[in-house]
Amino acid sequence: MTPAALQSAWRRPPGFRALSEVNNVYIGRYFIVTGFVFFLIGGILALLLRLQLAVPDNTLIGPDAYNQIFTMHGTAMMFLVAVPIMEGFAVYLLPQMLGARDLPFPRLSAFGYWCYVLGGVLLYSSFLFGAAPKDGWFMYTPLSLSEFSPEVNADFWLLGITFVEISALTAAVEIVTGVMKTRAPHMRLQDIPILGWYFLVTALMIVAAFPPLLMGDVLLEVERAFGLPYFTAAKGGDPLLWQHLFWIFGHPEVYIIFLPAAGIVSTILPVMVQRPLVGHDWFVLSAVSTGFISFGLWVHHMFTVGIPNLSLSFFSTASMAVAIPSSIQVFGWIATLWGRRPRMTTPMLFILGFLFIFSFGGLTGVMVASVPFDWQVHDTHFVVAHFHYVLIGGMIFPLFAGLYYWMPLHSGRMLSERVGRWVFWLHFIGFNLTFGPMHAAGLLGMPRRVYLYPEELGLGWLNMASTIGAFIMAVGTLVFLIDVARHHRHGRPAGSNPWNAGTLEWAGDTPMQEWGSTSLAPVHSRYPLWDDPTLGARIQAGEFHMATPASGGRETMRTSSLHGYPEQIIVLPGPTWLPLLSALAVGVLVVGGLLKNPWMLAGGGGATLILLARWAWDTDTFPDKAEVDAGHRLILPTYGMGDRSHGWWGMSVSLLADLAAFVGVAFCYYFLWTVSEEWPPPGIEPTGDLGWAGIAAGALILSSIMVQAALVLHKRGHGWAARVLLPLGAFAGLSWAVIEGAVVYGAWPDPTVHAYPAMAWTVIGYGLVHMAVALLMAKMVSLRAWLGLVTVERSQMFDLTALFWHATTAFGLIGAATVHLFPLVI
Amino acid sequence: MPTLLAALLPPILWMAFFLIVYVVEALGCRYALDGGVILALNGAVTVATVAAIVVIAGLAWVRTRRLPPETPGGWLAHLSLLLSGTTLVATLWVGLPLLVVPPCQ
Repeated sequence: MTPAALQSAWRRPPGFRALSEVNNVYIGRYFIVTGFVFFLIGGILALLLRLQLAVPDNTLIGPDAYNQIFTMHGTAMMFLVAVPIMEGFAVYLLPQMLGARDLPFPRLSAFGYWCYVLGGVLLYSSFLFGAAPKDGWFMYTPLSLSEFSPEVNADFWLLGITFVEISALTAAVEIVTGVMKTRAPHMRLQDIPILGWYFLVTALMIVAAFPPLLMGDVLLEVERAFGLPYFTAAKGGDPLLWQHLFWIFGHPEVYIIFLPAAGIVSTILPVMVQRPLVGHDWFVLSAVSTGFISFGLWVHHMFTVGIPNLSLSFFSTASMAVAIPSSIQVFGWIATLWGRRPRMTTPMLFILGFLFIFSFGGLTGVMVASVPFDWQVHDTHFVVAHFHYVLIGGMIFPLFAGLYYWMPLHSGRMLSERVGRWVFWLHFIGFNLTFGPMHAAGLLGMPRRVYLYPEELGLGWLNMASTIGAFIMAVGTLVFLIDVARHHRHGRPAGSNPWNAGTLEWAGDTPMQEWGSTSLAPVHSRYPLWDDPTLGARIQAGEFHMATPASGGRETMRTSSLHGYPEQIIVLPGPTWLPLLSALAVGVLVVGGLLKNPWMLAGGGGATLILLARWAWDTDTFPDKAEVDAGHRLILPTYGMGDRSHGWWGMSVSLLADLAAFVGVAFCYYFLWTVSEEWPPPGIEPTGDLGWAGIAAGALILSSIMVQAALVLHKRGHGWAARVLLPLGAFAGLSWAVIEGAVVYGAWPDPTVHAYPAMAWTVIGYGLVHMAVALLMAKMVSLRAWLGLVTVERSQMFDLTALFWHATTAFGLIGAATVHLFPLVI
Repeated sequence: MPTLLAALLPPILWMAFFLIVYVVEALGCRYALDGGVILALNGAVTVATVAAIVVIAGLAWVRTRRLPPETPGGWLAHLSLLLSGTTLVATLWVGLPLLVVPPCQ
């Protein structure tokens, strides 16, 4: 076969069926374009804010509308723009950069994209009903509780954001597994391009940071809808609990946004000076260190809430310590530039702008990390200035650099350099004019989130300067959009590798083909195209592996995580409606929650379960050939299971996210204990029936033992184990759920009376929901075993079900110990 | 995955250390505020800091044993050594307020 075979395998379906496409080359661009559209809407909201603040005592926008606009501006920029656009870059670029054909779970990427679109549309649609969220992008309690925000505004936020969080988590699973398991043959860990490292760290941060907020969203929505008082002080809850949950996510979020942008800079800068990144390992060190330390900073958003001074100091010093890895990167970039004359292209201008603005924002960051200074400027425009320097400087400027740099991969043409200079200077001047004066305005007493200020404050001219700056930036963005539209027809053809880059995404001609590389070359360095200038042409000539689709369809190579040894040809799914339909089903569920409509909740929930079960049904596929020739006498299997398979990695990363969510729930329980006067409170049952709880725990442990025994026996060729022993194990698990549920209901029939029973229900409920999913999975494995679809050689679904089952057991037991035993030991 | 986790041990230890000192401080202040408890609190946080420093330094020392740098294992050991450095600085830095800030105020 020739590239025509690749073409036919990877062709996008025509007409409306294009919506069923799952190829990363399309899904990545959909993410970026959608994110940019949401960015434009968020930018228009920002302009409205600036118009209102342009002059003192302005009457243009009333307080209610102002609250909605600033809330939606922040929410959109953080949740709908910064993270998803970077996910889009990862999905679009990573496979080609890593020398693969696609990411390992294309349907998951597509599902994440549709969740993102629906979540974004749901959030923005709130404006149409005059019901946009208005409690700030952080949705602080008690303001966001139903007592003070009884309308649906806050529900729009909670449900829409939950949707977007699902999208981020799916992308994270995809990115981690992609970087670790689908690389070019022989690409060792140290050969991974620097952007791959940054995306890997970012994805792992998403896995750890998003679930606590996801749980926070669920708890807040449950309190609003059903009255379980997690955040109501009068009933034993604590509004500060929400702040902790929010910022445990919220501060790592800043680095989740910044790290991919730093990766973009670290990728483009070496190309502009035509030398490898100086201190590559130090950059990896910085990314990893930042990833860890950023989880020790969250309280620096809460310096004024009354936490003991020494605790504040821990977070204050950690906030200063994170400047170390950040500075290592800045020095690394300067060292890469040192002694070279960079090509002053538009991407380079944006990178220099980034270096200036981000460093400045970093310095004010060290200022606000100091507790006494923060007390002075808290909730003033100084803080607004600081985080815009960090976020726009740290993300939007590298984003533009990336768009200019990689646009030829999309269009095959270059954006105009002349126009690009205008775009840069309009943004650079506009940005500094907007946010520079805000430092002064904040120090002079201009508060945040206030829709008007009196003339006597003397801040009118500073605010007018900011407003003019904002409109200059907007003009810059408009000019960029015009040039993007123009270049599709009139841009200079880019040809192949127009920047003379060293990484593999530039191996082919532009625009990038739907299948990426025509053949997969062995890679032994970080800049393979610089090491061998003929490599791109040889890849396109089909000189290396998989030039012919070995299985006849879409496929990519699975490689070992450390050495990159070829392990398997992963047969990838082609276009399918499952991702879109599943996202729509989740959408019906979410809107049902918004409208409190039981029919929509039941319909959406049922449809989601059915569609996901259908999706999982494909887990143990039976390709026509067990082994195929990947070219150059490399014979690889088309199926894999066990801990080296991509499915196992995907499940493990998902369980890490699951663990982070459980830690979030457990944190809620123990936090409320530490702040309560008495725990358990007087007059409330402390532990429930310990005898029955013990029997339940025994059943749960027994279920795990039986499931594991069934798996081991199955692997030894005893087919009955999956058909009989596994259902028996599942029955033991079901027994746990019934007994434990009865114990909790018997002890605390009404969880709305106090936070104590509410938390008991929540901690146990986490395990119960998992058990429901685990039972469904076990049922499917057993059914497939009866149908002869799960065999000794092909039983990945069984492996993954057992993994999930043991995690469920762990959550159930820790939850039970927390609820039933912990009150006895305090 | 075990090799990767081993390389990431220094920052994982830092996170554990950070969590321990935060929780010890929060709980100590929650339950009693007399002088003896404060002394014990300071002692506990100091012990945690010193223990973290010793363990991370020990890990760094182990990592200095040279593996071939061109192998992924050797490269990860090198990365882990660098991580021990930043982790040590972060641990020292977080432990420093003990000397100047009284707890529970």
